[in-house]
Amino acid sequence: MSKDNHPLTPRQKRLRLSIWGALLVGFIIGVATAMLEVGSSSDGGGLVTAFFENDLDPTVAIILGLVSVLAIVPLTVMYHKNADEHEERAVLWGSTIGAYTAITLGFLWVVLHKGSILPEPSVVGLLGILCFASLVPYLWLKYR
Amino acid sequence: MKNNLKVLRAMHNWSQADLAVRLDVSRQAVNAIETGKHDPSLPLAFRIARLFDQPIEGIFYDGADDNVEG
Repeated sequence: MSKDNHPLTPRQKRLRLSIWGALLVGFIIGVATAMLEVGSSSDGGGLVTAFFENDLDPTVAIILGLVSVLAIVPLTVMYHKNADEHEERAVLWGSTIGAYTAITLGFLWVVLHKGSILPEPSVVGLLGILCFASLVPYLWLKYR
Repeated sequence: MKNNLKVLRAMHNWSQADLAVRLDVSRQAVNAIETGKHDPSLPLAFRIARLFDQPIEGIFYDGADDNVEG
């Protein structure tokens, strides 16, 4: 049931399944990665610190990477096949703005790093910028 | 593009959520179409027209006549 007390249509059920499935996979992979890193580290530290700072065994990294890709790809296809046109438009604009932002700031970051003004560009940092810059226009177009 | 969707929905005593279920889109999509923030695709416009048993041009119009004085 939705919060409007209407039963979800099959399309809405599949859409929600894809979203919650992707969130669950991301959460499990993230926690598993951090826990394995804590276990392999001698200096301890919290899960978040471990996730960003500690190394992972290459075999474990390949397995976790494969599992995450094999789970996320079909869930993403499922999401796009079941999103309605209003949501697709929000996703389109969100991802476009996110991509332009990440490309522009990424280029700027590299140039400023070459000038010894900023530290070395971080892939995780750019991914964070991409996600944030995509999410804001998506949420605005979806819920305004 | 403007439309009479809100009026037609009220005539059937449907909420936005009711209409969303009948069209199999989100309630946010119905709200965006009603307020002119989202122009529906032709397939969705046809679905809306069939649901209300009206021609598309009986529901959607471009609003150009609103600017003509006289």
